Parts: sequence; C-alpha cells; structure tokens
Amino acid sequence: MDETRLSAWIASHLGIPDLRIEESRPLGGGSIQENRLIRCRSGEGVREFVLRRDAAATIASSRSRREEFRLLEAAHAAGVRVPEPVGFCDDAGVIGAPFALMGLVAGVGLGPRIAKDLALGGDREKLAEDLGRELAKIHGVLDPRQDPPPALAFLGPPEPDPARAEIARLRENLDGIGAKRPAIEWGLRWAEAAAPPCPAPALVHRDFRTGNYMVDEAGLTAILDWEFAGWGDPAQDLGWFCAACWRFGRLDKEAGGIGSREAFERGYAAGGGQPVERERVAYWEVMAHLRWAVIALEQGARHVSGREFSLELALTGRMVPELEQAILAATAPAAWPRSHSDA
Amino acid sequence: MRDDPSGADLIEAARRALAEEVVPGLTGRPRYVALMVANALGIAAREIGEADRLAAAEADLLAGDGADALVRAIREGRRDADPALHAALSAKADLASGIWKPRPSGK
Repeated sequence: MDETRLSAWIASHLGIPDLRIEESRPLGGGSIQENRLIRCRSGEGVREFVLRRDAAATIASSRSRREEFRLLEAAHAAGVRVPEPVGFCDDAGVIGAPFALMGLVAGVGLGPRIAKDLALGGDREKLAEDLGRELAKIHGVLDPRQDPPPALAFLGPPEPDPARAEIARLRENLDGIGAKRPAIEWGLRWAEAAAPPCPAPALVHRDFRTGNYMVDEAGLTAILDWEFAGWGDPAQDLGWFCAACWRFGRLDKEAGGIGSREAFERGYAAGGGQPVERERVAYWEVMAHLRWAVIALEQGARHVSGREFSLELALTGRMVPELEQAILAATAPAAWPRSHSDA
Repeated sequence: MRDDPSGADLIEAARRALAEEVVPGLTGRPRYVALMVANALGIAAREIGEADRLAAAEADLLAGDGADALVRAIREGRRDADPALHAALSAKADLASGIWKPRPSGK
C-alpha cells in the first residue's frame, strides 16, 4: 500500500497538512473485507483509524464499500453506537481500491471470545438489553413511508414481501455456485410456504449478531459491519441475533450467546422497537440458519473454486450439515402450514 | 490387498500427533492454524470411515433420481411436507454432521 498517497489523502480530507502515518497494519477478522489499522500523528496529536476495503474475493450479496459507508453515516447521525464515519475515498489511485476510513473503536469483536470470556462486555444482561436498544434505533433510522435521503437512494423502496425476496436471493446464490443441497431446498420451500407478511418494513442491519459488535470490559462499544443493510422485516434482525447458530456454543443464552432473550427484548422495547412477535422471530431464526448455510457454502466455494486458498473457508463449507440438521428439525412435516401438508 | 496402516488410519495418526505433540507448543496464529489442520484431518478420516454409510444415505435420498431432479421437485412444491423425504434428509444430515463434528462418546 502506498502510504505517501494515503497519508496525503487523509491530511487533505481532515485539513491537517502536517499529518503523517505513523503505523499501518492489518487487523484480524473480516472474510469479506480487509481492515487495516492506520495510526496518524500531527504534532502531539495522535488519531487512530480503521481503513476498510474489499478482500480478494467478495460474496455477491454484500454492498459496495461506498454504500456501506453511507449507511454507517446514516446510523451514526441517528445516534446508533457505531464507529465514527471519517471519510470515503472513491479514487482507486490512492491505495489501489476505494476505501472507507472510520474512527478506531476500542474493544474485542471476536464472537467465540465474547461468548466465552465473561470479563468482557460488562454485565451480560445489560449488554443484551443495550444491544436490543441499539437494534431498535437501527430500525428507526428510516421512515418506510418516505423516500430515503439522496445519499441512500440506492436502497430503493421497501420490498413488499421481504421473506420471499430473501428466499429468491438465497436460491439465486445457491444456483450461482452450482450447489445442490436438497436439505436447504427443503428448508427454503418450507420458508416460502410459511412466509409471514411484513406490514412494517424498516432499515435492517442483516448481520446483527455476536461477532459483529465490539465490547470492552464495561460493555458495548460499537455495532459493526453494515455491508448487508437495507429494507426488510425487523424480525429478521431479531431472529439473526437469537438464532442458535450464532450463540457460539452458549445455547442457554438465547440472545446471541450472551444474555437472555427477555433482556434483549426489553432493550428493544425501551429503544422504541415494535412489540416483538415471537412466532415471527422464530420464523426468521429458521431463515437465519438457511442464510448462514448458503453463505457457508459460498465461502467454501471460494476455496473450492481455486480462486482463493484458505483452510478456514474450506472448513466453513463443511459445517453446513450441522445447520441442515437444525433446519430439518425446525421444518418437520407437522411444522408446515396445513395447506401444504395435505398429502 | 491394502497396506496397513490404511490411509484413514494414517490421517487419524497424523491428526493425533499434531493435536497432542505439536499444538501444545504453539501460540497465536500458528496454534490456530494447527488446530484447523487437526480439525480438517479429523473430518477427512471420519469421511473415509463412513464412506459406505454416506453412499447408502445418498442413494436412499435420491431414490434413483439425480440431485438436480430432487432439487427441482422440492422447489416446485412437489415434495412439500413429504415425511419420507424429511426422514431421508435428516438421516443424511445427521451422518454428515457427525463427520463434521465427532459425536460425544457413548453414542
């Protein structure tokens, strides 16, 4: 990476002519994106940023860096606890690709570690409540009855039927990698038959789960990873957060492996969220397993295709049967709507 | 005649040697990678060990048709809530899941 150009861009963007990059190193995490820590100095002042750009291969369903940055700005303006959006650079000439620059947030984001290490995140019931409250704020960022602001025009209008739209996308993704997975197809077909209507669409994060927020010893520091956000059913985010596949082994902690569902729902209500319909959330928990299974297959395919060598991606592709087990358990013949189970 | 130890035995021996003798001396990223390698070797060994049952579960599921035909039938709603299909899918997923992650002993 050309640090002279990057340094000049940051200096000019912030209007600090003597700003210099003091340190630049990769940060862990992010199978879709590459994150780097950039530490800058100007006189006695030090500022630390995270620079985010696309990793070698991206999965088709994620947004562009620019769109992700606009969503981050909107969330920040609405008071959601997110990293400070510092700037976006369209000019690929600076570091070889467009990138977003954000304020560095202290804390730990790794899901398995947060689930296991109780010294992190402060009081866990309060953490669950805080996450519920932040999620409600996210769902209130946009008014579905109005056109989004010009910076978010790419969102378009809400889909009339978010569950079926999601199912169509997942089938497309499966076809895109040539995956033949009858168990996932079974789950998707059940989801199609059982799809609930969505009377109140909202801006949804679509990757709101343990592993995509940061905590320090005291509690929540930031909600990360806005690359899948868009219009949808708010119950999708609640279901994704609570789905058993995102509890990192702490199955008893139904809210993301870190707290009780009650605490999470309490925070969601306190933050102004619509009343939680458990049945609707349960539907989206099955959808969460379906979506994660499809993403895991896509990640495995990145390795299998030979485009990218990665043992981590290869192993992710092999975890799919465990998700299929959960999907099949939730979609036994008796769980189908009556109109589809009359044999 | 096959030479002993078999390929599957060797993979399992390699996994054990790695997990018991190499991993304890490692820290950081190398430890993480070594654990992933051990995990991958375990999966490969179990897959070889279960090859016959996997093939049987697959044959039972497809019942003479190809995977393409089954996927199409499910998508088109021709197998909705079909108990026999659900049972075959579950049997295959249970088997494959046990290959991904060994079942707790005692089973």
